[in-house]
Amino acid sequence: MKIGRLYKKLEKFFSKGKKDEEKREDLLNALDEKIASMKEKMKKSEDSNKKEELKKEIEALIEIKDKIVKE
Amino acid sequence: MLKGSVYPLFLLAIAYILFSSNDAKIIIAGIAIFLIGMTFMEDGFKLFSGGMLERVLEKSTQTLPRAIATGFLSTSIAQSSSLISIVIISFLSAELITLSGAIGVIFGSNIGTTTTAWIVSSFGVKIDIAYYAMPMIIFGSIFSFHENKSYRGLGGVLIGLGFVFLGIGYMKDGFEALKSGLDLAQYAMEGYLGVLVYVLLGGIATVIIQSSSATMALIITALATNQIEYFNALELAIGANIGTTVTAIIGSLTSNANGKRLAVAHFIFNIVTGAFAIVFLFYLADLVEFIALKISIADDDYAMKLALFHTIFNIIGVLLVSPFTGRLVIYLQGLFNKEPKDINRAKYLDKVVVEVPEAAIMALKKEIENLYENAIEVLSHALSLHRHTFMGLDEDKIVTVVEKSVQKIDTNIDEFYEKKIKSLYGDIIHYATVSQENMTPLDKNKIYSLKLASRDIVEAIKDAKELQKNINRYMKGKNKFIKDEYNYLRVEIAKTLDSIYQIQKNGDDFEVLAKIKVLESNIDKLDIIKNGRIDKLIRNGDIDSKMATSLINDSFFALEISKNIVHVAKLLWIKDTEIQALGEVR
Repeated sequence: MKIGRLYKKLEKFFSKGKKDEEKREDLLNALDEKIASMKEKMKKSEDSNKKEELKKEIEALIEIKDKIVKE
Repeated sequence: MLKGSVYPLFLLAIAYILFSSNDAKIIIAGIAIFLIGMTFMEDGFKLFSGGMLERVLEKSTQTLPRAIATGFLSTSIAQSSSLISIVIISFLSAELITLSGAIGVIFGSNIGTTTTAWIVSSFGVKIDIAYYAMPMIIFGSIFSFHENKSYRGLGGVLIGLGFVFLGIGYMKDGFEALKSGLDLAQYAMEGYLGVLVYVLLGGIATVIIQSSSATMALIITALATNQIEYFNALELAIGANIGTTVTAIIGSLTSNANGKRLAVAHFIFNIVTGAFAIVFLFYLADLVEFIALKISIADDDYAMKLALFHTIFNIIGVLLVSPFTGRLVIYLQGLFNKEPKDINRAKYLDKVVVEVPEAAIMALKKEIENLYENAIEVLSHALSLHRHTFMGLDEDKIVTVVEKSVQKIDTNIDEFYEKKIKSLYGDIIHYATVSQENMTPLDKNKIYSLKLASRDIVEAIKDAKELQKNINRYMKGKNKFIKDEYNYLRVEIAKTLDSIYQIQKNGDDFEVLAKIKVLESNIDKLDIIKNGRIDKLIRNGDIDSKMATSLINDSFFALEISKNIVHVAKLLWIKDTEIQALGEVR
């Protein structure tokens, strides 16, 4: 039993790291966090040019996110 | 190292010893097997660690104590000070670490190498280590055929360790057998004459064997089989430490300025340490006795005491020399000024840097950033602008600057390209290709991206040359409409250059990505056919057909310039490859 567990641990250590699916999930989560923080930043900003700039950038990130989800 | 007529003489001498003494043959075979083992271990560790060693060395040299600790740990684990030296010289050349940090690592590495003596004295000479060597070599060989890189690396380490143990076994057997015919201990020498003779012998042995670890293994096995006296063994160990610097100095002759600086730092360290150890040898021996008693090393275990002595005098060396690191840095920087290189050639790249993938990638990136800076200068001039006049301004102000800057700037782009771009671009492509040889597929991909980035920069310059001709021509003309159109192209390119300038200062990959995506959507406005502006201008008779064709071509050049530099920004300033790949999603 112990040997089996040890073997699994070794297998995990030597495996190529995260699977593609996990990586995709991590990336989407990070993207979501960034979008949320940028929205927050936009809300707080009093500069209308800056707000417009952030709005465009948020839209660009949302577009990327949607495309990843659709793939 | 042995060149010309010396090398055949060396081979003849070895052959003579091999045929005249069977016991010496076994000892020399032991050294050879030990050295092969060290090579296997080094290569296996590189494969097994998968770049982790490089990442640790890059990030852990900010302060001198940290650098010393990193040098000690990495050498103890990798069991190779030469591997650490190669990585450190590459990082230093790529300006990833400071000279002071690199010197700290070399100091620590000196303490790290003493762990070999502990391994040999605690396992090598006490148990029948050759018995364990065989299973290691067998399992190592099995692992080395595995498809997974980490298993292959582990295989290399096991084979290496197996050979190291086997080599020690052979050395031990050789000395045991030699003892029955010839007792080397009868040549023991006491007093300071003995010190000098044995220090010299240790140094010469290390220069010949090219490995202080192998010399230490030889000394320990000779000591364990009572072939040499304990004090003479201590002197030989001091000699081995000094001998290793001779090897490093000779190796650095073909290296760059950084390699030479580190070799001299290493030399100074070992000479100071060696001199101290020689002068205070008997006091150090007493200190060893004292500590040996405290850590329960048996009174007659001279092999372990030798390992302890080796560690103590290297630690004392670090304590003696490290307070002067700052002065050493200044001295070494003055001693080896960076060769006055052609300023239009690669600044960060050379054959030392490309040996280590991480350093090669970073150096290439810096070099391409340098190429980009040159390109920005010429692109701005092609637009009749000086970059310092518009970069960092608000969009409205950029428009004003562009409208006011109507004076042609006499920059011959062909000449500029030949003088400032071509050689640098050539160096980048050359070193990028050379560095790829031992890289992982992921690193090769990064190199590919960097090659693309440099090609895009060069393409942008070539397109700017075409654009420059008509900007100069129509800015002087009387037609307001065509002038406005060319001003529009100038403003849009200037805005893109400015946005990328802002991007360079941003550390967040997602924010850079978002800005690049917005830029990409703006760039499309430059296509004068797509946006219908050209139709309007022709229909209203604002411009003639010759102007129209020029404008169509030039708007395309402006579009291409902008696309290329935005693509460069994506490849250079989004660090995470996964996020960089998102930039290609269309």
